[in-house]
Amino acid sequence: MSLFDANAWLGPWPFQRFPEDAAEGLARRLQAEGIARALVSPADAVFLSDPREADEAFLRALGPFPFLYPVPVVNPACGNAADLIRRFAGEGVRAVRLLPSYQGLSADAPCMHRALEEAGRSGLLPVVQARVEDERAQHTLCRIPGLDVGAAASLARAFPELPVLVPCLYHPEAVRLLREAPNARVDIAYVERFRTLPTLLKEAPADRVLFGSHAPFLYVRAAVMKMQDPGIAPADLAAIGRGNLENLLAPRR
Amino acid sequence: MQDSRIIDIHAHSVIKDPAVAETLIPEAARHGVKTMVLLGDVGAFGEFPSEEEVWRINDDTAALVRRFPASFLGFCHLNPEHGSKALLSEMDRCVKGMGMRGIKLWVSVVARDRRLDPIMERAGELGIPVLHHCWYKTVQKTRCESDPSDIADLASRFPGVTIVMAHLSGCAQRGIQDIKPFPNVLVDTSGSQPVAGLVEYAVRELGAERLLYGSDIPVRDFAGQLGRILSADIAEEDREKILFRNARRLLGPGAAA
Repeated sequence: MSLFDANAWLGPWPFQRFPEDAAEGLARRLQAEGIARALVSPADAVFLSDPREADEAFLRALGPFPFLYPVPVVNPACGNAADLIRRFAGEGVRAVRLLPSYQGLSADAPCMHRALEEAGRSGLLPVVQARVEDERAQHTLCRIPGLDVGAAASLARAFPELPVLVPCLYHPEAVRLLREAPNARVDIAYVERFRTLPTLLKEAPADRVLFGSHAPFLYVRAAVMKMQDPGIAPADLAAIGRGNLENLLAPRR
Repeated sequence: MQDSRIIDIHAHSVIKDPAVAETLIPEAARHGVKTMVLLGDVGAFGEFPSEEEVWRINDDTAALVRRFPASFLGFCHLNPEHGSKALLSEMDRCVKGMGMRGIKLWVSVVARDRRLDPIMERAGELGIPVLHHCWYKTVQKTRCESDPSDIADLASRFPGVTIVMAHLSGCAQRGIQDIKPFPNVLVDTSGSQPVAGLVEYAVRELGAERLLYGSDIPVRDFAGQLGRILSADIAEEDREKILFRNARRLLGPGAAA
């Protein structure tokens, strides 16, 4: 089955060296693991107060790779957030990524609400990142807490008609968010238990779980192999592997 | 590679749910894992188990190894707080009496603490490895949790004892450099997130001979933990060393066909 990856990045990143920071390398790596399409964000935009210039360079870099869907980073605290979201929508972008923990924000800060409101109005899927790295392994002077799941659920519930994708949650966090916010979606990049997916699906509906690799931060094969458990029903596998994300990206306006 | 030769150096049982260990076996087979080294349910009684609780952990391991000898080998868990007499008695009971192949130390005492000395001396006499939990943590570090510099200290004082430093992703590049000068330290790849590039880095810096595949199952998944080894950009010969050749050499006969 060809996979649609809901969670990939293009480097560079200050705390991890990737074998390649160019789109060609990412595309090659994903395709080698059976990933036909991917949502990709620019890692170098995460720490920028105004990520616009990094986003623009990133959009140019992804131009020749139509199977890599650009997901620019938006800083909801920056005054241009709403303008950027509208502009990206006009340029054919399908989703935007917000990183409240990295942007010094609570997940349910007023500017997060405004960003989701604008994303919904513009027909974009909001991606609210739970974490980029394992907090235990972060640089000692750069400690970024993981997303507050309660606050993220509160944010999502405020927009009940708008699906909100939250990548890189741990298993218990994913289960809690799905329970508390009916419009939330999660990916499997950080979810890990013995027989990861069948275990998750005991507590989570398959139509709200998405395949995500978190490449190039993590080995892509680790996520791909989670999908190869014979205990997953074929229909669920297809939904998680690509169908759910296709549905989320379908035009909503 | 799915030819059932893989040795998993880092697996656990669950005392309160004995059925878990049995469920590991078919899943291991599906991933080509022939042998799992049970390190005991080390967290069953908290960070500082009593002597009786240590016995209970080791009895549980021994019972599973007796019941499934084709799938499990056992390591003896110890709490170095218990003093030389109790430690040596439990080592003899587990290794000589129950055939365990190594020692597992967790977070009761930091690895550079001299209370480990009798364990290390006896491990040297018995010719068995000591697998030690290890991590460089920015947050969530427990009171007596060891980091790679502690393992390096221990290795420098006991150069004749093989030490397995657990958790490659937790130790990362700095940890690899800490133990690089000590050839008696191997590193297991178990646990945490499969951070890309670390296996390749460890092979470059230490050589594949010093790496052992481990999963930390059932807290983790064979899929996620094997994925990092199977897709690392390394030579096939090195991959085989990590997946089973090194462990077979370390654990001796019966580790895998």
